[in-house]
Order: sequence, then structure tokens, then C-alpha cells
Amino acid sequence: MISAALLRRTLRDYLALWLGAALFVGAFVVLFNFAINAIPRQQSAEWLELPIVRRFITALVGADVLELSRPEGMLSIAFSHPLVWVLLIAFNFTLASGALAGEVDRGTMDLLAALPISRARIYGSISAALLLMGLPLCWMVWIGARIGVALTGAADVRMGILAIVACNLCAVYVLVCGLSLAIAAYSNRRGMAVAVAFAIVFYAFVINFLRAMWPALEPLAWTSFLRYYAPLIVIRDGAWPWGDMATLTVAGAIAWSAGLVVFVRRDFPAR
Amino acid sequence: MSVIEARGLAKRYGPIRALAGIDLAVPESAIFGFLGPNGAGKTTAMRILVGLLRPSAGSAVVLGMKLPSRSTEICRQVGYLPGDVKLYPWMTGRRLLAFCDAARGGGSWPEIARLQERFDLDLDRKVRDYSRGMKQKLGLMAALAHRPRLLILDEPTTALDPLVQQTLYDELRAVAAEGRTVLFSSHTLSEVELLCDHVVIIRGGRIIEDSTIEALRSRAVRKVSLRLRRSAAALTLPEGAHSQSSLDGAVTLSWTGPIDRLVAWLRSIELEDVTIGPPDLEDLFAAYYREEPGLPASQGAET
Repeated sequence: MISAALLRRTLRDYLALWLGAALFVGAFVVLFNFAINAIPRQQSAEWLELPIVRRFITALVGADVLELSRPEGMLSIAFSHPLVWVLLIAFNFTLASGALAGEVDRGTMDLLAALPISRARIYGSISAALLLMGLPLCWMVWIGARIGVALTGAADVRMGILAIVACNLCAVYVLVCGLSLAIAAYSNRRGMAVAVAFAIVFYAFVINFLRAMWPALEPLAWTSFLRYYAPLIVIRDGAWPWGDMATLTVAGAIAWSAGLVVFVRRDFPAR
Repeated sequence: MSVIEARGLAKRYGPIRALAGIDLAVPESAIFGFLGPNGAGKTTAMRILVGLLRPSAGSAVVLGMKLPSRSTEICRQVGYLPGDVKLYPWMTGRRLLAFCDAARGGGSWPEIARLQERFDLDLDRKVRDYSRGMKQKLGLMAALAHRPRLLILDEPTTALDPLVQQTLYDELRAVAAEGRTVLFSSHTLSEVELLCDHVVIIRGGRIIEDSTIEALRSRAVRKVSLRLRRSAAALTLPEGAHSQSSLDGAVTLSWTGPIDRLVAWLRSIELEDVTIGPPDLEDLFAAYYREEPGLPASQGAET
């Protein structure tokens, strides 16, 4: 289902961007470790009692802020930090839109689609590149946390629990891959593909964030993929969120399959 | 045997009809010219034949395989050059050809080395630093490198200098001599006349002429200049001759029809001198390109 030549070419084309994103995510989480250790415990407890801070953090990590009492509780914020999201999603959109809609937009799809690589294999190869580069990027958050814990000498941090959170983050990434590939498979313009994918992700963030502030939005919560990603609940319960991960993966697979059907059947107009 | 067999091939873009159901049969080992004004549907037809577009109606069999279900196997044996060649600007020419070679399963490098020498192209520069003509050469190398059974080239001489055009003509003749087939579109009538065995003229999404070059030549206009021993006043022109000017014994006329009939008529009159020009396909093609009542107008399809 993949073309080794196209997979190699795609990995090579996006290697510099991936390295930059991976180093940035890792370095950010290491520094985040130092930052949370630099804040005196009493001071952080005072901040967390402020209603606005409490709601903001609840929106980010999916559970009440009081659960942050465990050492890995504060670290879970790194797994939901806006900067981490921006890097993960920007990398995903750049690769998915550039390697599908971008090929049509540039006119290079004429060269690619005239090679003896079936459209399903083109789509499969780009999907494989997106997963091979994106999933390690998700794990860079955990690796950054591990390095940070080692450097700061923080005790009692259960890295195994944070690994479950990393797996949940990977499931979110799989869903975003499915969405971005489906949109890119349909689009002739890279900019349009990015704009539509961004609008969907933005909607998910807004609904997830606002429902923490405004309970009336709770009935819409299921439409936001972030509803299925709650790091703090994983840390509190210490259990695998199988249901949430399955929901994310199945939704991602459905979006991916829709993109495949569209890509295999569509026209590539002249540019 | 036909390498391309299309029946009722049609393509619509919403209300716009780009191809109105064309029948096409391209014989093996031929250099087949595809002519027509801008927007006639040439590019649309070629893009359908390489699987980039899905026909709205009709069917096509390429190299004995049905489109679009076997387009991957077809692409293995087809070399395609798009009309406006676009390549990855961040790659060097060598890396781009290496990618195409790897995607085709390898084995093209001896041919790439030969083509590089023929086209005199520096493959170690980035595509973004290439001129338009160099990009065209690289696109041609990518299309030719795997020695395909069928070449589909959309205006291949665009942006090439006359020397490189000549090299390409030699390559295409060699391709046909090896029993492989070339289908190419062009607006340059001299190159069509020089290269093609067979020509299809398309306009408004319909084929309006499908003929050999020889048959077209026999229908093309020749200019004939006569110097008569007597006044031209009594001269009776045969069918196919149209007088253009007449001064004393000098007559200039245009001739359409078989050359042996012209020679027979010339034998029957008293001549001092005669000059018979070559058949002028330009006029013939220009007539096809012009809008004519009864023929559908160009539908604004891709060129």
C-alpha cells in the first residue's frame, strides 16, 4: 500500500522541518520542567485557587485543577500546552497539505501521478510519512519530560503514566492526520486545504475550551476531538483511556478512508 | 495494432464540454500528431490517456489495457510530458530523475546518461535555478528515460532552442524506428509535417480531421506559376485550379488535387516555363483552425 521511493522522498523533503519541530518540542518540555520546579509549591497553590486559572487549566488538561497535586500533574500541562499543539498541528498540516494538495497546486502531480504508483499507494505513502514523522514528534513531549525529570532531579514522577498520556496524544494525532489527509486529498489549493483543516481544529479547541467556562456548550462537546483527550484524568485514574483512544483512532480511520476514496477517484486538472 | 483505442471519449467540467466524444486510434510505431487551436481539448484528451483525468463518458484502451482501472500498469510503459512542465524546485535534476527511476523500479541510468549527453543538461543544479528550456529538457528526460512503449508529449518543443528541437526530432524518429509510438501535440506545423505519419485535428472537443500527412498533402494547395507561349485569355482552367493573377502570358494559380492531373493538364497547354510549389499545409491547417459555421465553437476547455 506504499511506494518506498515516494516514502523515502517525502521523509527526506520534510526531514529538516521535522528535526526542527522535534528539537523545539523536546527543548520546550525540558524547560517547562525547570519552570514548574522553580515555582514555590505554596505560590502555585495560590494561583490554582484563582477561578480563572483553575478553569483555564481544566480546559487544557480535562479535569479539575485540584488533581494537580501529584508531581506528574503539573507535567501533564506540557502535554496540552498550546505551543506543543501548534507545533504538532503545524507540522501535520504542512506535510499533509504540501504532499497532496500542494502537488496539485504546484502542478507537480502531473509528474507524480504519471509514474507507475497507484493513487492509493501515493495516498498510503504520504500517510505513512505523516505517521512515521508525527508519532515520534508526539513522543518528544514524553522524552522532553523524561530528560527534564532527570535534569531537575524531580522525585516520584511516574513516567509510565505519562507514557499512557503520550499514547493518547498519538491517538489525537492519528485523528488529525485522517482529517488533514482527507481535506488535502480533495483540494486543488494548498492554502485552502490548510485553511479548512485549521478551521476544524480551531473549532475543536474553541468548543473544548469554552465548555469548561460555559456548561451550556456541553452537548456539543462530543464534536470536539479534544473531548477524548484528558491527560489529568489518565494521571488521576492511572488507567488506559481505551474508549477515548478507540474513538479517536476510528474517527481518524473513517476520515482517512474518505480521503482515500476521494483521492483515487478525483481529477487532477492542468495548472 | 493500435496502441491507443478511444471510443466516444468525453469530458465535461460542469456546463463546459471539453471533449465531445472522440474516437481515436493510434497505430503502433507511429509518430502521431495532435493538432488544434487553444482550448480545443488536446490536453484534456492526453490527460485522460495518462489517467490524470477521468472521462465523463466513453472508454479508452492504452497498450491493450483499459483505462482507468489499469492506469498504473499503463503508466509503467508510458512516458508523459505535460504541456506546462512543473518540477520540484528544491531538487537537483539528478535527484528528480533518481526519484522517477526508483519509482519505476530502477534501471534507467544508462539511458539517462545518454540523454544527458544528447540534451547537454547540467543535472547537478537545483530545478529552481533552471531556465524554462532546461526544465523542458529535464521533463523530456524524465519521460524518455525508461524507454517507454508509448510517449505522450504535450507541446514538447515549447521553450527549446532550434538545436535542441532538432535533437528531440532525432530522438522521436529513433523511438518510432524502434517500434515504439509517439503521440504529441503541437502548434508548429512545420514540425508536424516533418515528423508525423498521421495527424488528428481537434476543435471544440471534436475531431475534425483524422488523416495521414500524405493524404493531407494531396489536398493541400500548391502555388503554380506558368509562362505561356500565347495570351492567357483563352486558357481554360481544369477543376482544382483557381487563377490568382494573370498578366500577358504569366499566370499564377493555386492547385488543389492530385499532382498527376495537374501534370496532365500542363502537358496539354503550350508552356514556356512552369514552377510548381510544394503543397502548403499552412493554409490547410489555418482553414481547420478557423471557426466555420456548422462546426462547434471552442468550449473554453484546457489547452
